[in-house]
Amino acid sequence: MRASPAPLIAIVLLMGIVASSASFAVRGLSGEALVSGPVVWLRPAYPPGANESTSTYGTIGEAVINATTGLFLTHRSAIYYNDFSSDPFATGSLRAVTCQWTWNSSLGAVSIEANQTTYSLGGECVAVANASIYNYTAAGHAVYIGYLVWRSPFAGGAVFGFFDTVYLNESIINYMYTAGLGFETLSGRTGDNVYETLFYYDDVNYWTLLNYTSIGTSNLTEYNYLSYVASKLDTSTRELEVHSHGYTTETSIRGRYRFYPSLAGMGWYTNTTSVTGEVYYDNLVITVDHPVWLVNVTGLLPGWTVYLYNSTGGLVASATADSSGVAVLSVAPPLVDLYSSPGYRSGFIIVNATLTVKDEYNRTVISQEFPVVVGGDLYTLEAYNYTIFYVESNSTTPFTARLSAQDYNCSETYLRLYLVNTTGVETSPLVIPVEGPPILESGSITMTPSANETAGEIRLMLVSKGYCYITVKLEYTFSSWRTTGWDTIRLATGG
Amino acid sequence: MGDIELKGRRYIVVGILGIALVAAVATAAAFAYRWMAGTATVAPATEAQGAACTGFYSSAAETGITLPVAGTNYDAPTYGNYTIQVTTGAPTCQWTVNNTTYTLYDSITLNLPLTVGAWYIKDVYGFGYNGTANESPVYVTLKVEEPMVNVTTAKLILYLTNGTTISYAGALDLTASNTLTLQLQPGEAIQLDLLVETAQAGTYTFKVGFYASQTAEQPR
Repeated sequence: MRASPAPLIAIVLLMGIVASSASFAVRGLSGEALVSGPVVWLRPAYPPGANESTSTYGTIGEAVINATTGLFLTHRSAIYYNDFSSDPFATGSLRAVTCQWTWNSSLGAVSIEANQTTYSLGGECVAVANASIYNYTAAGHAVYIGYLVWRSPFAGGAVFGFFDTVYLNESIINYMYTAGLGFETLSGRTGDNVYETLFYYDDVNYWTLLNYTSIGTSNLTEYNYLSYVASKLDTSTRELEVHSHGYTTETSIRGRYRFYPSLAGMGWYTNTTSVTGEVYYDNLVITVDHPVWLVNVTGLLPGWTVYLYNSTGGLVASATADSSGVAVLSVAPPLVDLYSSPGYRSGFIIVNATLTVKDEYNRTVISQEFPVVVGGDLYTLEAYNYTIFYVESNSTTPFTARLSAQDYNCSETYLRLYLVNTTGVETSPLVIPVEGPPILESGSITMTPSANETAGEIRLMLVSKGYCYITVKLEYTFSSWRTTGWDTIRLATGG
Repeated sequence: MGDIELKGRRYIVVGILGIALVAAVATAAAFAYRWMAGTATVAPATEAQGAACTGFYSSAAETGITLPVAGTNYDAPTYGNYTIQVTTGAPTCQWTVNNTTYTLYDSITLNLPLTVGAWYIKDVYGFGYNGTANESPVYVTLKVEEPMVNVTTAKLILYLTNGTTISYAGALDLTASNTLTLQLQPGEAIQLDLLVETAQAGTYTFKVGFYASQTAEQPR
């Protein structure tokens, strides 16, 4: 008789259960949180354009910001500018007072043959802008002129020539100041003898040299170098100046040479008609009360940098803001060898330009395109810059605080948050930039609540062409971050 | 009255008695007797090994303990003059190194003075496994046995450390019945962080069981 297998199977199963059964060493963690009212909380500052609220005893703050921000052209000092991309004589934008001036369509520039001279205006070939400056000069304003200039190789031996800016008063007796570069050509392409010259002219007394500076042998007027001439006439201070590539010559105009010019433009003078060659002028700009070679950007924070790019992305100029938040860009061109860069024209007038502002951490604040940037322009960064919440506390002991970003969804927005305590000490900022890596945490600061429970404030700087939603923690600690409490701030703008 | 009639009545009485006796016999319990005996041999904490040598500790409270740094903020201030307080339970594993005895505890109770809003307590206590390198790993299942209710957020956040490296090992939501299992190698520990966010003042409690086992099986 065979035994039933059932008992054996049961034993095997039991062994299996024993083998796989778990025994646990049981441990226990219990906790009790004794929660009191808030120790650090937010109070809305209600800045302009903000819809603010708090909840949960001020531990949650919300702000919706509605503000117009951006980089704007706030003043154009130029009363005339022309890049000669179309025929300025045909449009009446430019008038040839003396000599034969032409427009070169392939170069988009105005030119004059180098051998030209005239019996009037002391032999000065003059083309003036269709813009009266009389109201400015008569009222004591400063008028600036700037343009780009270059020449072809000259033949015919040594030549004296002058690239001049011209201040003219046409009347029965013509009066004129010329401020420019005078030069004597030398053989080869190793430079000319160059001078900065300031002249007064009238039809009775002819030419009077007011002042000059010898620059020496220089490529400023050498053929196929893009150069520039700029000048300033200030009838209130009676100053006449000429500027070119870092050189400046000025004079104080004595009484007998004073008059109020009504026209401004470009001039060419040569001492010989036997020379052959061509002189080219481009980007003529006339400004009032602001140098034609400078573009200012205001509203920046000290240490921020502005970059000016041309239409092809080439960097034209950059400048860092001073302690007053002003960056001054030089839009006068460098001396450019046109054999290397034949099409270079980035000076005084920058068509389809881009201004980019970067903060002290090299993060992009804003990048804004402009149809044209002209010497003498003033741009202003208009940012939303306010205290958005006050930090309050009933603690009798100081605490350390900082801001940290939790999550955000931002487009075309620069957001900067930082803390300030009651003694005015600021933290480094939390930054969400338009471009570049964000800085997700501010610096830390000690806050000592005052008798009225004020401990500090949260400041916001915002520049937005898009939208931004962000949640930020106001973190605080009484224990060097061994334990951390926080309030929550939700910000929204745009979108 | 005739005798038969009398007898008949006696029969009836006797008959009734007889039925009662039979019924009594039929309802009496009959037991198939089996037996189980148990002997719990409780070794002293100094002899604990494997999963038994797991427990709570603070390297700040037990300076020099031969486990990773953990529990450094067991007595940290939260706000004002208030500090965290931790009460330890019974020693569950003890060992001696250079005449210094170190202890792992079977339980701890945290007392957390907080304020409305959110609080994060970093590395409030440690949970370690003291063993030699050739011992097997242990599985530790954390189980929320008494959730923290009426709070906005409550989490126990775990960081695994071997004394050299530290890595995030998960978070246990304390507001509901949840479990989380992780593995500890001998000599490893968990740093326990706490996140509590409340909207109202009050007292909020929770309890978490730590089940250590040589196998991966989950506790009930």
